Amino acid sequence: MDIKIGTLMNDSYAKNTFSEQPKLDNPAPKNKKQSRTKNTSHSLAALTAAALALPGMDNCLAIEPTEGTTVAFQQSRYVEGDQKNYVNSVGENISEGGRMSIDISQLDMTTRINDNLDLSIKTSHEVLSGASPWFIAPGADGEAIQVMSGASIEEQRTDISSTVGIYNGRTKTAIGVAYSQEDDYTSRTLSSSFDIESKNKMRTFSIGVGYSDDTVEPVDTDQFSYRIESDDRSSIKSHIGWTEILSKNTVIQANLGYTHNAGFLSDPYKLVWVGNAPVADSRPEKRDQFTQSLRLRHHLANTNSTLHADYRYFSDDWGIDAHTFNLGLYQNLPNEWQVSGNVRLYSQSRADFYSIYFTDDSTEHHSSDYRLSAFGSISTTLSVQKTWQNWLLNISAEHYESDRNWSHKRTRSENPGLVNFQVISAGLNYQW
Amino acid sequence: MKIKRSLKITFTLTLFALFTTGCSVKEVKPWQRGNLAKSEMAWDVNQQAAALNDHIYYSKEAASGGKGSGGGGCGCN
Repeated sequence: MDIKIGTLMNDSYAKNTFSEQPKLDNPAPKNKKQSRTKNTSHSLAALTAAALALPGMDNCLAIEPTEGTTVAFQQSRYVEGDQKNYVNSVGENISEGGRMSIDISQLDMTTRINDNLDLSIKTSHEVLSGASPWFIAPGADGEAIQVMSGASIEEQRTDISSTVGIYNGRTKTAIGVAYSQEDDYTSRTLSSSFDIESKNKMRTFSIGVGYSDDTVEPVDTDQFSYRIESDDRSSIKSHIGWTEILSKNTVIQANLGYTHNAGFLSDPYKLVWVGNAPVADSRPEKRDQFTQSLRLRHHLANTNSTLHADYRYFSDDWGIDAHTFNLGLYQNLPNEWQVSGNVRLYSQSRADFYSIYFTDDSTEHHSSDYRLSAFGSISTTLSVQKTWQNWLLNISAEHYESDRNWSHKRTRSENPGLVNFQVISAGLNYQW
Repeated sequence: MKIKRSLKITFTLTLFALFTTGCSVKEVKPWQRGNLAKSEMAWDVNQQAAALNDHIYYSKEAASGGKGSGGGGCGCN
């Protein structure tokens, strides 16, 4: 967590009265006989204490290196809901049992190197098992039958990324590298961003660009002739952002993003029913994505709670557009407890080349991947957090449900592969 | 058509941002920023949870992005 201790110590602070000081955990004494110096140092100590109270937190405003060193560990379990009248690769019903389950371990470290530099290293390791939607077959009565992947998938993914932040006056330059490795997928990313804040520190402009070079190498290509041996995809991401302090309790941010993807963008494992047989999933070799987002944070001083409101609009040249709303409330409680609740509403339209089946192969591209269909989702998250000296413990649970009737653009096209899932996480941070 | 709509929304968002951040905003002095500096005012309060959520939504939904230019890809099924 960053707080502008340096800013607080500037001349204007020393010259001003304390009439509008924020309420502190350890407020300055009211005795006028005490010297200004003592008063100032007391207030600073209290503000510093407030700033250091919650380790591992990144403040949204300050262009200043992170405080001290924080190590954070989080363990999560992701479990998908039961399979609904699916069949396996040999045509047997598998209406019971979960789909995919994933255990995720995350270990992060952020540290201040000096007054102009900080460093963060983030790692994550996932162990996946279960089955994934393979293709949709037409049933005898015209119903859509979701066929799941043949063998149970057993896979691991390891991700490591590092970012160096370089601070110089009102500017921050960040340079990041990321590497992700799976049995069948490798991703290498380079990114950089530049932030500059206005002289009165009310406004920050951000600009960033990133390049990712990925390799797709599907497994079991000897058993499935439709699978490619190996191919590449790349993406260029860019964004500009604008953060503005609206009042002593409110801050807002607007972001515009553009991503260009090129290369093999199909799913090498999925099939799609075309005519009277399944063939390989086929998507365009180019995809341009646009995002616009607005984020608002508002502190309610009377109740010591904070409101989060986020909106994102997404569109791409595959015919998909999507709306995402997020509403969260963080409530501080006595003895450094905090509870929070979050509701996320999501809705997308379908890709131009999505259908459950295709009657003929007259179209160049075709996919029955439910992620390209029209659907909406509702997700709710509850979290409890406790801070104790340098430690922070966090436990959270999320429930996610999706439905084709919740899309803002309804179609008659079905999507039996839609997923529901739960995520349970426990995290522990230590800062020194 | 999509691009046109996208530009229209960008324009609206920009206007909204200009409107809300225009001349009427009173400068918030450094000593008035105690609440703004609270950890729960961060864009992502729990960065690990946010990174995990972004990763899950990326692998289950068609839309992604909106938070910057970092982060790598995955072959998520």
